[in-house]
Amino acid sequence: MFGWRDKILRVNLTSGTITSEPLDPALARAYIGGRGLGIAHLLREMDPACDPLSPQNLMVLAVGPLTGTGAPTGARYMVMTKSPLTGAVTCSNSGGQFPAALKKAGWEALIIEGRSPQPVYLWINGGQAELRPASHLWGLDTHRCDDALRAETHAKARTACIGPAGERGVLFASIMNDRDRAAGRSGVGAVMGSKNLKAIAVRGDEPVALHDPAGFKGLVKAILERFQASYPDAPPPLRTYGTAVTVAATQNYGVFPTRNFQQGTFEGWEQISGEALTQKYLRAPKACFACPIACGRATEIKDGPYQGRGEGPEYETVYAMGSDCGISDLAALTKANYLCNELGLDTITMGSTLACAMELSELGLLPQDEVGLGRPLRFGDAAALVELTRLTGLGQGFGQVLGLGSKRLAERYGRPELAMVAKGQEFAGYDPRGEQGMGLAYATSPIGASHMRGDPAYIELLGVPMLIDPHSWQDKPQLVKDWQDSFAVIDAAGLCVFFSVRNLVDKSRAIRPQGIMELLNAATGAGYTLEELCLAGERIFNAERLFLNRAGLDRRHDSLPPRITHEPLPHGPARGRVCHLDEMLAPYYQARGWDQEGRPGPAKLAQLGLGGV
Amino acid sequence: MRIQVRLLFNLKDHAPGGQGQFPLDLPPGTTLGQVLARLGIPPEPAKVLLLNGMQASLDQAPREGDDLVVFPPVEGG
Ligand code: SF4
Repeated sequence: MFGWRDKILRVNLTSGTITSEPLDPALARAYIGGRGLGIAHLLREMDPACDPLSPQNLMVLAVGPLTGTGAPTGARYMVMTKSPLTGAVTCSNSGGQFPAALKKAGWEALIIEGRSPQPVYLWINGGQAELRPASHLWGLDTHRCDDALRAETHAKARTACIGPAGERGVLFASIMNDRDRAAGRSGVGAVMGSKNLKAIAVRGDEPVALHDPAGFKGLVKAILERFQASYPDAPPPLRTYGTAVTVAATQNYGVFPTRNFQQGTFEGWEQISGEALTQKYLRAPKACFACPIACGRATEIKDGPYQGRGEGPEYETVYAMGSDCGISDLAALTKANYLCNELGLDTITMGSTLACAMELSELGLLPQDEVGLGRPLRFGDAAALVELTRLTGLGQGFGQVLGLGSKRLAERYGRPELAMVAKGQEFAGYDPRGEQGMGLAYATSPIGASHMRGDPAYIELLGVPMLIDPHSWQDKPQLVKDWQDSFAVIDAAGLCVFFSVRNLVDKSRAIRPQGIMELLNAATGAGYTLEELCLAGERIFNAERLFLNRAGLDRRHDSLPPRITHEPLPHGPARGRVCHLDEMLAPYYQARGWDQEGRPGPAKLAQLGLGGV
Repeated sequence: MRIQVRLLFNLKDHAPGGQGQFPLDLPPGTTLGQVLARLGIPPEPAKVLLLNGMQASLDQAPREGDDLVVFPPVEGG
């Protein structure tokens, strides 16, 4: 096969057996790979109603046909499993170097089943794979674990592992690869921990065979030239400032979530902006495999109480741990970000859960002695952010409560509506009251609130690759559907959204993954047409929806908190607005060919070849 | 007539004194296209224009006291 590797590695942790299976070419073509291949296997092999932390849950780690090929940003892999945070399917994406190494070791995907009786790690050395004891690694943070793994496998091994948070079942534990890149969301690290799998180390250096190497090279060259041409007089802001470049945009639109979404503008925004980060703490921009952008941030805080070195923060971290907690101390939130990376926590849910706790506390609903800081927990308390992040990652003290996420926290203290979540997962850094498409995307994303499963901020706020009115809602149902399906193609191909989004719109402003199709065809020889590729994106999204329906989720779970749908933003440019989810949901279901309970109908399933699945 | 202008990211180079935020005096009726021209900001590639936080077009004319924010399209996250 070209582009795709022809093998999948199946690891049964209960029995300790490892087998190599051929990749099903028909399945690969229909689902492309990555996120698509992941959901195809989950739907066929597990019961979506199972307990996510039981051995019955399955984990699929899948690269895409463009991962490791040299396609710009072909650096990504997807972790797919049932989420313990949401009870829905999750697909958590990460870049760095680990995914390309897995691909170069000769594997298109890993399927992890069961539960090991003892802590183990998986060592993949090219075509060879073995499970090794990991009791000596249990308890290590992700950086120490990476050091230890490379010392005992190979100096050039790339690793993905969980930290103490994943071991302790924190419901939003991440899987960290290459030390500081995160498959962050929805608790994939807790699932890995529940399986007693501490880490995966991989070494691979066999180049990926391409169908048309010369044609592929030409396409890559043209893409990179177009990329250079769109930044005629300065490097891309995403490289100069990192993803926190977005702070200035969301603040000026009035959708920068502040104090648990009580406001859409933050008075301290300039202190936590991308510019401030670059000026104060940036050591160097850092790129994932084959990425011309390098939005990663290698940073250092040289002195003071938060001294340290690591990576981040990203925009989402700046929002969740900064404005949403009312914190403008960039050093503190950068330190909290380092702790999340080392302990293996999702920064978004960590910050957002703390913001919810701060509001509960200010309302007098969360007793001071339960938090245990010796002072009332208030918005703006930077030292509390750092300390409570540490306790959450270690599963100690009030950190055990925070480790349940904001939905369970808010329920526990009697105000469930104060959790800023969809399907139990915390929002990304965009207030949907000033960005209607984002509201619909949060509510209908298969993994719960996420900006990455079809990110309308690009077109509603940032002007890439076009700009539309963020306040209109009549045009959003069809648009969000098309956008979500296209993002599924990016995720399945193994590319990074940040770069690929430019290639999603054709000259007539229609949303079509033309550029991705050309790369896929040159790499694989599959001869995809645009229609086929769009349909593949839709197939992936609907397959995930089927999983949700079978896990008991439907229209009732496509919801947003009343703050977002009924409480107008108090000030800023989006003042007086709410999110019109109710008006958007019915036409969205219609555009999707779903019934009004949010279930794909028989005709839609048949059209997508999902009838018998 | 006076408006407040904020230029973001590399557009700051076009701000008088290199400070991203500054007041600008304009004859009434000046369009945003003319404002950009006056600041030496090339119209292509198209910029994102926010007038009081609302997207605006090049032919729109700001009013006394308006806030104008200009930034190049950016990938973010
Ligand atoms: S744009 Fe950023 S996240 Fe995406 S591949 Fe490049 S460095 Fe990685």
